[in-house]
Amino acid sequence: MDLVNLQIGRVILHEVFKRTDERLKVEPQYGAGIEALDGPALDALRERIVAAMSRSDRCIEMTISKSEPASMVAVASALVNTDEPLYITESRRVADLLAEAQRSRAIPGGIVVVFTGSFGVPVKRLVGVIKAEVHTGFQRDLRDGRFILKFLDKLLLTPQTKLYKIGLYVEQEPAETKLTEAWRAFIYDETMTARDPYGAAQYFYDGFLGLTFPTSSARQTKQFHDLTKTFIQSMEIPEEDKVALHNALVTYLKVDQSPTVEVTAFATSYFGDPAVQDSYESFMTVKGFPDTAINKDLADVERSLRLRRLVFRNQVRVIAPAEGFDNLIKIEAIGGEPNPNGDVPRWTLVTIKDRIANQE
Amino acid sequence: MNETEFLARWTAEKEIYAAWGNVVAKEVLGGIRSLDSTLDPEIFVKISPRPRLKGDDSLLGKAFHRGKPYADPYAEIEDKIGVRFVVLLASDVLKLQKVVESGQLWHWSLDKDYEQDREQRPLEFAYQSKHYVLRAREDITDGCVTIPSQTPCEVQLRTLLQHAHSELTHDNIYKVQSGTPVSSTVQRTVAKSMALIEAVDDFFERAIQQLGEATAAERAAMQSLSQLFQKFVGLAPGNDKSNALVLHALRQQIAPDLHAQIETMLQGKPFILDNIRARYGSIHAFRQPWILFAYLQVDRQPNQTQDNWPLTPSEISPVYTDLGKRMN
Repeated sequence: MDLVNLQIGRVILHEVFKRTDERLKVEPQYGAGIEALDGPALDALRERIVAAMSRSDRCIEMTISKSEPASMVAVASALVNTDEPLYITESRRVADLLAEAQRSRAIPGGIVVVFTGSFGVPVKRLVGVIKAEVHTGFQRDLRDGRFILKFLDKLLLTPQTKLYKIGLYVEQEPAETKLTEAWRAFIYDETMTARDPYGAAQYFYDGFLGLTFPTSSARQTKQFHDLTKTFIQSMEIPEEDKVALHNALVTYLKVDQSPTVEVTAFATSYFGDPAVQDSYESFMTVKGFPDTAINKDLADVERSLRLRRLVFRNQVRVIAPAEGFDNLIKIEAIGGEPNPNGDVPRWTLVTIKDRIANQE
Repeated sequence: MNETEFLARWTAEKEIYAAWGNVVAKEVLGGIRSLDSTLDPEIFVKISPRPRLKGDDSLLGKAFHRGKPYADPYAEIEDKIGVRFVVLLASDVLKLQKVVESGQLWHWSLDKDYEQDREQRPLEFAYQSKHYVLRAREDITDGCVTIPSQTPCEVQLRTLLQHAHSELTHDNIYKVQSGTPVSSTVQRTVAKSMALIEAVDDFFERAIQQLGEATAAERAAMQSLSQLFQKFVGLAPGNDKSNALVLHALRQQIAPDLHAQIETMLQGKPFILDNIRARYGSIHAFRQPWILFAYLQVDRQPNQTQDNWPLTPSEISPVYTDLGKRMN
């Protein structure tokens, strides 16, 4: 999602802890007041959030499944309307929810950043929570004219490490009383993997935030496939060059280990030219394809991914399995036999890397 | 008037002439800026135009000893004070000419005109310069000195190369009295250098012209961006070298309707102006007109812009963040 004009309002920090050996909840440590961040610090925080949420294959729009009074979306809708003293106490419920959700000893503690803000034109309000795991690092200090390394054991939200997860609630319909209609929810989780898209962070999006993966994933994955195919066909490059891009689309959907489908990720991996990347991204935006990642679900697209069809101008057809297409067939443009006028027609050399098995 | 009387009057009036020279120099420099606001006189004029009073001996020599038939040498010698303006190109001399000829404080007459010389003596390559005599239109008060009307001042306009030639020949050939033997080989060599200088002046002109044509779109964009910055941000636009670097690197992305594109963007996303104003005082990039172009390009073609970006990523990363995009 493009968080255009992201503005951050109130920021407060709480800390949650790993469960005890008996798997009992440890009470969170609550922040006493609103953080006073100066210009550069606020810019850095905005930059972290934008970098995570925008055009990222780890940022997904989710469906809000829990909306009872104790749910996260209920807390979010309370937080955007409170005054400062109430914000400090109400935001503790966020830390409580997370502490409750972290049932396994394997889940580390961390800092919970709860912030309000806005984005877009016209402006929409939002509430965000970041769970940032604390890690270690060094800082170079100058003392008595000498550099010394200072050990830091409470680092968080550094740009290089992806040790944070974000949940973002965006107010869609302020007048709507049904919370699931009034708000949209997005998550960012770098640790999500193809093998385990749901498991690792389930405590975060489900237990803590009350979200589920949308049921529309299969339809959207199909939409991604169809739109991308249309874009490739519309490109002003020789047909022979498009073969490789169609193959890339199959590879991206079937072979690539990414748990999601996302426009920019595909663009940067398979379109070398930044100008083509830009026009592909704006094509997908114009066609209404989401600017978040989509949970990769091949149910609706499986059929289209099974076979690749090439139709030549003289009605010859070649049909081949789409997966591993370029290992089965080699396609090259060649100059054909000159016609009586001396013009050389363009022909295609198709090499099928096997013997004939059957014919009619 | 004998030499003693002549010298006495000259000594008494030197201050007036010096003042007139200063007035002329200041007026011409000011005129350059009014002619074209993009010209900085300090840069346009290559050698600082310091008014020079003629030396006593040189003046007496010219008045009484060079066989010149002056009836009233004091009045007739018009270069008692002189100011010289040296510029890079022959077309710059033309600009100076306009300034001098449109001056409000003086009447002018042309004393020596190299362009006319070229027309009249096409086969000759000799000293080239443009000499004007400026006479005060009326009495002018400058500080505690009053410059009487009709006080003359000689103004010389030349290119750097013409100046170099003049420096070479000044005391050696140009002012040599007729009949003094100067070897014809030397004359020939000097004429050859003058011919070369004229050719090089032409090449300079052509080079600058070609350069101008090559960067016309970038300069037009810069002008447009400066105006937009002034109009919408409401603060003085910067003009440093980063502008040329950015516009050159992204020149393929400059559209003919740049002006309209930026206006549309600012109407749709007015927060951009607030963000520029907020950072204007603390971040150099946000004082430069290119920042508007950067917002436009990051909004429309984020990947291509990052690929072609000529400065450091940190200078444009706030623009990406403002627009909700990340750099790859």
